[in-house]
Amino acid sequence: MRNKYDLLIQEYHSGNLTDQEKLEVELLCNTNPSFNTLFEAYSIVDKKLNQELKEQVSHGFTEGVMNQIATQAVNQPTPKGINKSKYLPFLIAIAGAIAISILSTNVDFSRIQTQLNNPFGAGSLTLQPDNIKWLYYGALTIGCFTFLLFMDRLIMRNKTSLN
Amino acid sequence: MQWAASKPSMIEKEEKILITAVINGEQQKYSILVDRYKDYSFSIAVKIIKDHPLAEEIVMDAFIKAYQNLHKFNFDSKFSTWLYRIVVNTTLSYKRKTKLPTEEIVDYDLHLSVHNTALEDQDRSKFIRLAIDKLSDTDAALITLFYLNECSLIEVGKIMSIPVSTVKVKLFRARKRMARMLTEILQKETILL
Repeated sequence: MRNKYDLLIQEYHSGNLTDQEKLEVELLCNTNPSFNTLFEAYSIVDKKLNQELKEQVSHGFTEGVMNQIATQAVNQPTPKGINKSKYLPFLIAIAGAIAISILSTNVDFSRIQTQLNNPFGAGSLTLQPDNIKWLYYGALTIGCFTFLLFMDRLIMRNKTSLN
Repeated sequence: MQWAASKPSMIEKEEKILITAVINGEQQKYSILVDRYKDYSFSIAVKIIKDHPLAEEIVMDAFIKAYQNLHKFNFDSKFSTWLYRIVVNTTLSYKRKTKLPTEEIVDYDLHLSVHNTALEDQDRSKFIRLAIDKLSDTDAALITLFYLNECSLIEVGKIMSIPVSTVKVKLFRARKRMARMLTEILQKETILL
């Protein structure tokens, strides 16, 4: 029972009880002497611990923090928002893939199909021209994306090495 | 008993304006936040690290980390909750990296100026400090966060990244351990007399 009371008193002091529950605690204080003793002891410990736990920094602490922020060129927190440069390579890759696919309209996919389906004379694959077309576009897109991502990383690496 | 009614929400509104101003380039306004929370932050750090100068350095690092990541603060909790979490994490990670040596408090030589059989208030304070120093890092952080009356159980849970039910159980056990340690310390003191 003592353990349950202890938890209840703790919750009372933490401000987590509803008004009804707080009234019940206060009623227990008035009607149950052992609960009341525990409640008062807790309050004394609570205050004492609060006094004992408070510490103070030395004089000039705030100035020290602000000086470090100002003189050591700590990075300014950046405002929230979309970082456009992060998504630029992706946009360029997609635009590039679309441009290349438009330029590839004259590619004869039937001829490619024949060559793919009979690599060494005997046919083992049966790819349709449409499948080949999508494979072709997919490979181009991935190729563009990989190239631009590589360029972006290369540029970023050069930028950070200059700092 | 503290009521979290109008006062915290006014502070939160004021802090939102301050934080937005700092992010927009008004660096000097960050000093208001530093002034407001430096002592509590230091209290948390010193109870874990048990070294005053080192705790000040760690808290300084924590404030600078908070400044650098201010744009990531979403106002979904109080600024103090978010800041204390940084302080606790910075202190614990520093302690883990450096593996600071600890000494057994049982070997602590108690020289008390006790008159008669009654303990004076200053001796009682010393015993409480000794008992807190004997606690583990997590228990010391929990006790400090809760008993400074700054944090409710929910906030302590957010700072320590543990569920509220776990906070309740850990606090309960930490207080019981403290009570046991205080009994041991007081018994040793009686033997010395």
